[in-house]
Amino acid sequence: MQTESFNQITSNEECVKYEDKFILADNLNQADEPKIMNNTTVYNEQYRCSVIVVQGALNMVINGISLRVKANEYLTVMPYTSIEIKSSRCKFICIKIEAYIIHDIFNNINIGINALDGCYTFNHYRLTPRQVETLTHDYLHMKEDLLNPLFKNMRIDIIKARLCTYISHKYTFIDKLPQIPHYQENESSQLFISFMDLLSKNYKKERSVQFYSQQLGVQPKNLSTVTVKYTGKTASRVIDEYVTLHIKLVLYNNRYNIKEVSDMFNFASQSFFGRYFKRVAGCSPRKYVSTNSKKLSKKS
Amino acid sequence: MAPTSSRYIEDTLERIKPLQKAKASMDKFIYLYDNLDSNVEPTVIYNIGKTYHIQQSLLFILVHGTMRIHVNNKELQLSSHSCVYIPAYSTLRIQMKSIETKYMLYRFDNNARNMSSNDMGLYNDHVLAGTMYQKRMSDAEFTYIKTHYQELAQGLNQREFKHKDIFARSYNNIIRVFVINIFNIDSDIKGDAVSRQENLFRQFIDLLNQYASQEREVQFYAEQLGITPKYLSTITNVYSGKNASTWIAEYVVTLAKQLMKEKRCKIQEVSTMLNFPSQSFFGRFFKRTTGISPKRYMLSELK
Repeated sequence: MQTESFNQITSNEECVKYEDKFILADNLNQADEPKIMNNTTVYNEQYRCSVIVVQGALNMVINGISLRVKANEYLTVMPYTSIEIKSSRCKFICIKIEAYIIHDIFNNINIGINALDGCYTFNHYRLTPRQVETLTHDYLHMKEDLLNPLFKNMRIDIIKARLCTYISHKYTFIDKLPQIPHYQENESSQLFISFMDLLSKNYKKERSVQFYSQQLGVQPKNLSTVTVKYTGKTASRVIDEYVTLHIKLVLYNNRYNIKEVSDMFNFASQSFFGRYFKRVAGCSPRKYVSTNSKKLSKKS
Repeated sequence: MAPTSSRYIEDTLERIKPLQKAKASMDKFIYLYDNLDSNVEPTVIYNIGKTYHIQQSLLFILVHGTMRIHVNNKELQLSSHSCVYIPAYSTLRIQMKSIETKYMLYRFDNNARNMSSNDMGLYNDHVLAGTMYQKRMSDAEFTYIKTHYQELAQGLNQREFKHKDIFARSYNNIIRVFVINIFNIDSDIKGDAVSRQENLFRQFIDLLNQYASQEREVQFYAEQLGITPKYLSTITNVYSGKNASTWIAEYVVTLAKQLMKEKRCKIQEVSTMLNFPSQSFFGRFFKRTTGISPKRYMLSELK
């Protein structure tokens, strides 16, 4: 599967970013008819994306589910999703942030939401024009400060603070707001939800399809049929990705050494852990830590 | 001559509340005061010629007019677009001000400061106590802080805002990063271009943070710093206009007040927690420093 950067989706919108951790894109200032490049497929592995359609509509397919995002609608797309743009004539805002950073921020501000919950899925809400205006305002501030020459130091902190303002508004707006439903309630969607739920509780101990299918009382093959339907991947791949995402989170936070992480996730040995991680993530744990992890402290 | 604490007016929120209504606030966190839309003079809060012992950190922005103030016994000339950052436990005196002054005052307590340090991974932040920063802002800086001050006030005054606490916290962080950037405090913390005396002063405040609940002897702190008690007092006088024993006493009293007010501790408990040999000894210490007994203080706070 191909991973593309988000700025390839759209034809000529403005895109600013901070070390590939924060990516902000919009086409609000585009004078002529705004249009996003159609028939592009993007594979999103470790970002949480927020999309607000300000005007027009966006037709897309996320992990095989077709949806239409209209003006004043809000879409959060979780990690491990393939996003295909079908057709669009819209003004939009997109905030794409590495899931670990959001996870960190959610923990800090005690909002009671796990940023890594709901992998492979998305949330879709309808907001009021006034609310969209507020979020747009927060977004523009964020974008402005990402490039603001006033902040020679601590640029990442100003963006995080900006993001918190945005979060405070967003979660106030969607509090008790029903989602626009996209999953039909049936046996297979129920099984998928139960599987993800079971996975979120056992990922530190169990990585075999056998275990999960037994717990759910289905054949491993049937479980994979369902995961393919909702994620495009087999059950064992879903498990590997989910576990790896959480390993990456621990490595990103950089509080434990690799041996400890290996034990934490119930691996028989460190070398087995290393091979597993490399197979799924494409690089060794050590390399991942050296390129991605948080610095331990800014000041001594 | 060492000034005694009775010469200072404790600048607490309780003192200010009846004098001027906050434009906006988040309780026990941040408070915004200004006279942008009215003709209230800043001297309503701070009388000219009186010295105040600041209990919260202040960011003071003079929008219009001129002022001459003393912060920690250093004289500052302020004109329009001047910005002064005064950390908690500093002293402040307004010497002179022009007829028409417009100002914005952002007060934030230790809660707000600790939280932003935590959010941004800033350490050793408390060394800032006892120092202060002043500059005349550029137009871009002034516009930025004014816009954000007003947006913060507007947000805090909104109703039905479930995550207002997160909103307040995010703006507090934004203002903190702004302050660090405009004053270049970052390089300051690392100790660049700081005289030996100033460094010792900061280390003293640092030690005070660490040991105030255990040690009240100037001798102890001087020993830790490897200097004589007399020299320590000279240094604290230079940087804050107070001698070392006053610093220690005021710091311990602040801790005691916090314990009584916020944690609702009994006087006996406070006395034990702050390592006093007996309750009566603590009572005498408290009265000597503040002028009232702990019991009376508690009664007045509980009202």
